[in-house]
Amino acid sequence: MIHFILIQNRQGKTRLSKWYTPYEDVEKRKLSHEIHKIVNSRETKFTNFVEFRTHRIVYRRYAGLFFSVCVDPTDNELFCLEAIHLFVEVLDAYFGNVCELDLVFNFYKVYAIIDEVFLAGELMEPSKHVILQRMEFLDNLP
Amino acid sequence: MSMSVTNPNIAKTSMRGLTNFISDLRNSPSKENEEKRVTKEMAHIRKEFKENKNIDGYQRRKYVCKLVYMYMLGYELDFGHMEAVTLLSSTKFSEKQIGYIALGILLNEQHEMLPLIINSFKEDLLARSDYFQSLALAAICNIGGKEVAEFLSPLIQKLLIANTSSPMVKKRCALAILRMNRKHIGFVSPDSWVERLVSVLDEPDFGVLTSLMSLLIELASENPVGWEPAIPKVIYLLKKIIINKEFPKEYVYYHVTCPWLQVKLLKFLRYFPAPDESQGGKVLGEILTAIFAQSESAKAGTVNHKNSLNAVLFEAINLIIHLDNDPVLLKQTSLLLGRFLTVKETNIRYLGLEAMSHFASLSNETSIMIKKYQDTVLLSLKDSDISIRRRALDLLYGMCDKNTCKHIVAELLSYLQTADYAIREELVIKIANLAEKFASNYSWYVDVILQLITTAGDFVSDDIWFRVVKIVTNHEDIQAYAASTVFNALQSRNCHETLIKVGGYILGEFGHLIADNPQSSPLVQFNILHSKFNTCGAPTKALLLSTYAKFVNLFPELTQQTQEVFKQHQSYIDAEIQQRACEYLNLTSLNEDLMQTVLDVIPAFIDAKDNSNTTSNTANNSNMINSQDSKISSGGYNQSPQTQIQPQVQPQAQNQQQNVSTNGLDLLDPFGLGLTNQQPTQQPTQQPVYQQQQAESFSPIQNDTVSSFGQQQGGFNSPTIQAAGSPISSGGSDPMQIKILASYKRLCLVTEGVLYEDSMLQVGLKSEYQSGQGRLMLYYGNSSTFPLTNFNITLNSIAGLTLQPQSIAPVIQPKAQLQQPVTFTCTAEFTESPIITINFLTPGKPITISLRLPIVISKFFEPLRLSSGDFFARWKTISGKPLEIQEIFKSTKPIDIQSYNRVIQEGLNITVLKQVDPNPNNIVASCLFPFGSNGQPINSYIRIETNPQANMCRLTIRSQSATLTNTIKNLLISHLQ
Repeated sequence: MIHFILIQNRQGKTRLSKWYTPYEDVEKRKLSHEIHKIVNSRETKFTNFVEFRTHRIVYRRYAGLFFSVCVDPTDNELFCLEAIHLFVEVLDAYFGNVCELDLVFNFYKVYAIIDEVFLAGELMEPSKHVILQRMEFLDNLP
Repeated sequence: MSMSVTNPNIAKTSMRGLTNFISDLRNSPSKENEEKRVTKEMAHIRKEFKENKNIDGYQRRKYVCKLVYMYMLGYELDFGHMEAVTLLSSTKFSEKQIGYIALGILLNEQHEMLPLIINSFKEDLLARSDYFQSLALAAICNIGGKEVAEFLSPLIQKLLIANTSSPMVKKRCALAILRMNRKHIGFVSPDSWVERLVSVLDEPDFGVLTSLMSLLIELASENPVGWEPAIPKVIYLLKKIIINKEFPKEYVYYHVTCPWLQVKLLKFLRYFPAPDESQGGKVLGEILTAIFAQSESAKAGTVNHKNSLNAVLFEAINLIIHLDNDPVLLKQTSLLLGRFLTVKETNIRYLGLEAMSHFASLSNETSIMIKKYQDTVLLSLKDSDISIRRRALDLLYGMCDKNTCKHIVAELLSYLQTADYAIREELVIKIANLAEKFASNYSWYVDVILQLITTAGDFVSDDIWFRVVKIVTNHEDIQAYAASTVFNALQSRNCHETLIKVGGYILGEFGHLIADNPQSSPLVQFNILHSKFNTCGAPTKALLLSTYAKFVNLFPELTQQTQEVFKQHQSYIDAEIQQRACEYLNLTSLNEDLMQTVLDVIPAFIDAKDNSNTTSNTANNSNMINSQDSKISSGGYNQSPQTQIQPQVQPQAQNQQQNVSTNGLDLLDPFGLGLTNQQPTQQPTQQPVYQQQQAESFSPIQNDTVSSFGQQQGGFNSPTIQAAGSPISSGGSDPMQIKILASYKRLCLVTEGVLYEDSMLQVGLKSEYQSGQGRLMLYYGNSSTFPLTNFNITLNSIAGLTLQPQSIAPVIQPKAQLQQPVTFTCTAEFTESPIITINFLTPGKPITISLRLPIVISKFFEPLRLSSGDFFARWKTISGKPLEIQEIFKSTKPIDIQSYNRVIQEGLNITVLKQVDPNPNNIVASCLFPFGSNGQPINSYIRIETNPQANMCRLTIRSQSATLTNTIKNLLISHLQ
């Protein structure tokens, strides 16, 4: 299962964090900090997977943003990597060429989108088309 | 689906006030300005919520968003939660949605507010629109806890199978059930669920199927029995997608049909034995062959296309390895994996190495199939990416056998010299395990371990060197070799302390085997060891004293030199060393027969192989295996050491084992053989707390004890004692001693108080701790009528705890007080408290007081809240000594659970987990120690079962660190007993 998802910029500012395992706020800050340190220090030719405590981090960098997902070591890494990409494509289509500022100013939208893609630490909906159609529908509700 | 460049819906639903506020904060020239702005906004919103009776839904939504934004920036939020709850009952979707989003961010499953909103969940679940239902279900998936499960599960079950539910609702229901089952393991049993869940597999919607498969995988991973009826349908779905190519077109992702669903379907099958004909076994073979064929196209196309195909391919490979029934596919797999080792894409190499480890562990044949790749794998060990190196190390470990071990171990040893710290510990454990497991002769084994100690001594745990000592003791043919090898190794100027320990032990036992050689004569052996003595820590010093005692027995010509050393240490600050020095001095000078009996060669250990098991356990843990999935994930290479060696130790062996693993010194400590008659004062080793060197004329109470001890010890006094006065190890019955111990224990639980008090001096302290740092203010008060001069403090760091005391004035005037701040940092587990030694002069008399400072590891614990499911899931991942310790003790006072809870929670900073164990007499608790010696935080899990009638307690502690487990045990017993 996914324990958490983090979107962080290169400076280490966390733009979005979604926690599927309950952590205390202190622990959340510590985890975010550590993850950023790890992924930011890795070279681009390295794998997108890195061991972290008893878990594995699957991450991908898009321009200045790191999307990191913490999963169990038994999870399929490429599954997670492409799930990240699916999510990014959804954001990109929804915001129209998404950039970091879109995520800052519309954070509540991003949370709404993430709940359409992932729930309970699992990938729920694997179709970009279905997700975007749903968002369009929800945005037009009274 | 294409969207216009800017989505008009964003503007339609955005809130201008929020956008401006975020802009303001972003444009703040400094952090202080930002804080000011935040404080101002908080005050404004608080006022609005309190006083504005006409606040409308839009405003409430906007304010809640602002509050959440501030919370996301790290500001604390002490209000606004209720306003988010109010939004839940709005009939407008946009308002309700923000309410749910806010609560999803602000609350977690333990939050006290959660029970208050269960009713809102229920109302929305009963709503007729699937978007309200969806919001409630998402919230249940995100923050639902046990109460939610109890209260709402029947409703959610119904929604999952109802024909009227939309796919939007169904997929969320499946995951909500998954969530509830995680919080409440066993909540979904096959008896009552299998039929219903299997019927949902007929659902055409791929979103529903993907979610449902997550649920089924979770259930099968817990216990596959009962879920078999899903197998034929799962195989049928795979066939539909892969062979028949029937699928909804919106689920095609870079020309691959919903790779995620394919992966989940394949993964589910890994929990079951190979399906037979009636379940679709033959079709499954065709499917797997087709997956191999389609992966050929992965050579071309976009990264996403390749990744998708490979995600499915690796899942198929794992399934093939699990099924282990198709020689053609297995052969293909080995070829494919061999090819992956040399591809450019690091991700594929990484996964290839991992899959190959699983493959190697399958059988002899499979491991032979991949032998030819050994050199390629060795190259990966030098990859610049640590992720690759870790996988390569795992694989090599699994590939190793009798024929290849010398080569592989040699490679690993040479890699160890340059390996970075992140991987050294694991490497050392693996090398030690391999060397022992495949050693054809033990001299090679001894060489390997000594090389380990020389290259990476800091990472060689006690377990490893205990093991060498045991093996050498048990194998006569290598004893002389071992003695000369360690002797040679000790010639190096910078020996690692572990080498000195091994050297001390082996020469003490077997030094006589090489003593005929003039180059390693007894005196040379003694000199080489003693030249290192002063640089060693206390445990090593104590061990060396035992070696010297053994020398006296073996080589009478060394009597004078060694006794000189014993004499010098008769009043040593460390009680263990002092005791040994006194005892050995007497033992070696009083009675030769007794000496020969006591210092005879240690008999062979009864070999339970427990230790190698321990070390491989550690290797396992560092391999990060999730317990639930270990069956499918780790591959036998990790499990083999455990399954081969049954840790069934005979009682006698267990005793010895304990000696070995709990304390290395006991190995050599031959006392406890009825020497108490001879040495009446040698009781207090367990309490190296309080030593006071004091002349006769002070307070009358102390005077009594002083003189009585002085008399008892008179015989052992020697002229070389460092300070004036006689050394006193106070016994357990000394009232001063009892008082000191009580103060110490109390201060271990609280932050300030008096540590020591007598007629002259009072020592008080205040302490504060924050994330690994601590600060202590020590107060020294002179309660006498004369000045205390030459006042000085000795306070040394101990392993795991670095102390920095500030210097202090040398004089305390009568009735005056000195303060001394001490800062300290915790860097690893530590077992004992640091000792502070206070020296000063009263008119004419020197005084020395040694006290334990109440700095205990629990001061650095951080809370660890776990649900019952999480607790037991993690609890199960650790078992067996030394990571687990169990101890039964009788309480001296009537057991009171409430006060136990208080001591544990407030005193020892260990989080008591309520409602995990329904028995009110039991306590379940956990804590987090963030500064583990391997650089990672360590969780500890604790159960205390009490029997108030019998006044007995049983304590079980599990953690990933043997040291931590043991320290927590000692702490709990000392404070609960």
